[in-house]
Amino acid sequence: MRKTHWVLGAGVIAGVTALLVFGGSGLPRAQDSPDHMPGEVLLKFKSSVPIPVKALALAALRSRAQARISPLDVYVVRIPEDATVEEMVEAFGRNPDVAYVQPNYVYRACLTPNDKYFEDQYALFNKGQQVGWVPGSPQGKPSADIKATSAWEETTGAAGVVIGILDSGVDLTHPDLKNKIKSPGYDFVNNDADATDDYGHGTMVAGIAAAETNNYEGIAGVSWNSKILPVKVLNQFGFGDTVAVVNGILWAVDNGAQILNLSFGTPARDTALEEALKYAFETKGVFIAAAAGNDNTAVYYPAAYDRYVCATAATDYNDQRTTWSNFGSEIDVAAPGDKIISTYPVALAQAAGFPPYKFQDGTSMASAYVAGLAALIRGIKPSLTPSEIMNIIRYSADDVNSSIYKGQDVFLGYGRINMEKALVPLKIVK
Amino acid sequence: MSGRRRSAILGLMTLGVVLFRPFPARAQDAEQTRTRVRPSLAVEYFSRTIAWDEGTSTSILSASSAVLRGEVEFQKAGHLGLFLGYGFSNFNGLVFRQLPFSLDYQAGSIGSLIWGGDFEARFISLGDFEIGIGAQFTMSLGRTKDFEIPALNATGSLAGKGTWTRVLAGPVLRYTGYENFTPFLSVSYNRIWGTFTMNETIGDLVGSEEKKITARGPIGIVIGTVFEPSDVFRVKAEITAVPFKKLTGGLDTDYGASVKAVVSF
Repeated sequence: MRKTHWVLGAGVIAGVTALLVFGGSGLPRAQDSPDHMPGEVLLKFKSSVPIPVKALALAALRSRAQARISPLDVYVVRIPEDATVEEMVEAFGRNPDVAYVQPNYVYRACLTPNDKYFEDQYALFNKGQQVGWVPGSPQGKPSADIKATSAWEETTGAAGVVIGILDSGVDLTHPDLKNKIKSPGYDFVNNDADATDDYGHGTMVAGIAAAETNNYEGIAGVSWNSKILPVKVLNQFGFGDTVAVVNGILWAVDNGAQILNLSFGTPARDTALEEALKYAFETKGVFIAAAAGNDNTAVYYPAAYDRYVCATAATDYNDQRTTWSNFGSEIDVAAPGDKIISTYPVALAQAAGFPPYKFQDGTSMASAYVAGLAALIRGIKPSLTPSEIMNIIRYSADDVNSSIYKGQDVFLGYGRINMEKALVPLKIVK
Repeated sequence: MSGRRRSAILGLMTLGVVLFRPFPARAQDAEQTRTRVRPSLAVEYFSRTIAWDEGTSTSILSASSAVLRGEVEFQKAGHLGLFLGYGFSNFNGLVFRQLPFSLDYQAGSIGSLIWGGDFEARFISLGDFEIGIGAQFTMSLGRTKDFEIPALNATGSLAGKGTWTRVLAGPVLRYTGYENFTPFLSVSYNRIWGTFTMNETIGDLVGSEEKKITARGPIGIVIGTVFEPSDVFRVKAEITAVPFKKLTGGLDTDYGASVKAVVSF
């Protein structure tokens, strides 16, 4: 005899309907945002509350459960689009059936390298530490940095990306650089195949862009895995000429450099130099970063060759423009350039009686941060053109002087570079 | 009582009588030979783990829909149905790294047109059990949705569009020993695939990235029941579980549920 199972049938239907209301498995949690995920809260009802009452409580506030942390019996609740998380936390909190309600907080792992002097690199991670080793050195402003640690979660660079350091050479034996050198490079001052640094400037620039990182030694470079191609175009006093610089650019881009850093300049236009830059940028697809200059005057060349070069001004540990940074409409971005610690040639340091690391000021240092960032971008997006890389760096910069000059300006361009915004996927929330 | 209110109550009462009237004395005999057209309203929610970037990354696709459905029932031997409706698909968790600015999609659901068809055939009866096969094809055609660009020094536009297709097919075992209440169990091939295209224009930067998605776990287990309180009205409810192997090892399960209200003529 067949039985009528009205209650059982209706119960099953009600159960499935409840499932439809309370949803299925969880959504992946987002990686970053100010401090909590938008559009959702975590909600736990008291254990005695039956499911229909829970459903009513959610429906009453136009919310729905989109996932559940089963062991804790905590629901991930999607809230109405026109309500804020704070409002909904307060609203649910008034319900006596609710055990607790809270925002879905955002946690982000930050990749902090173990390099000995990383704490001194405020430019990479500024937590308000003292800047410099001398007693009485100033303290930085927290977050006045280029957001390196969070960006390194996304990428630490590609070994196939080569940064050409056109400068006074590079200390090829430096403990923080020797494993990063692609080749001994070329010396266009002495015309030999040994671009050893006899001045110190190039070694500092190279270390900022791509020192060996997480090796318990010295400093962290911006691009951990990129290689350095040393090209000596400045002599032991820090001077070079058009012939050396132009030859250096052409040699570097023909020998694998995809990023160039030019931390030198002159007030004079240089047509031969412009032609070499054009070849590098247009023909070889090479990104070029250059220092604006340190005389509080018009932007120097090559930085002033606006079309081909990312001209870089300098900020300090408070995200303020340094008083000596050159200015002009050619400025694209800024980066920290005041009291920057970096690698220094071992031989020169030993002669002076200090370890092979040194603090230095200058847009030269700022430019090297930009070169390092460009190398990271090129590493994860090799198909981008140099002008696209430049735009990513520009558009993602923090307009740190917006209270005085809103938007792009002649002092800091689009602002101080922000590695996180340039590299980490931007969250689309609405 | 106003005339309008009275009419509404009368209308509801009439509908109640039509939907829940008892089976007529010889109705079941007649039913065996009838081919009937049944309109229905169905709502569904499912959540599936989807793989993308050549299967190296996963996120969740959750979708809900409400469709109007028409089915032709062939002398209790099976049915053929077509449906059309609207739904929402949530692709949260997709990450687009080929665009000039990489994007992490967390913007929630996008509306979509839902259409498809299904059929079920019953061909073996063993006492109170029936064995048949069922299949369903569903397509979700998402509309293009614009999103806000996060704080950058350039203006532009972001637009995304997602579509997916689902195919279900497999044997169905029904228990017919109860009146009004027919539980069933099915093990079905349950495949979802689709694309999500994101277009980015930020200042001078322009890019487009299409993400091919495929649901993990090809086989689903469906448990459900048909609840038939009257000759002309029935409700079908089911829960689907799709086990799958996680990229990180181990097993996990996705779930879905649907309720379908069917009216017969």
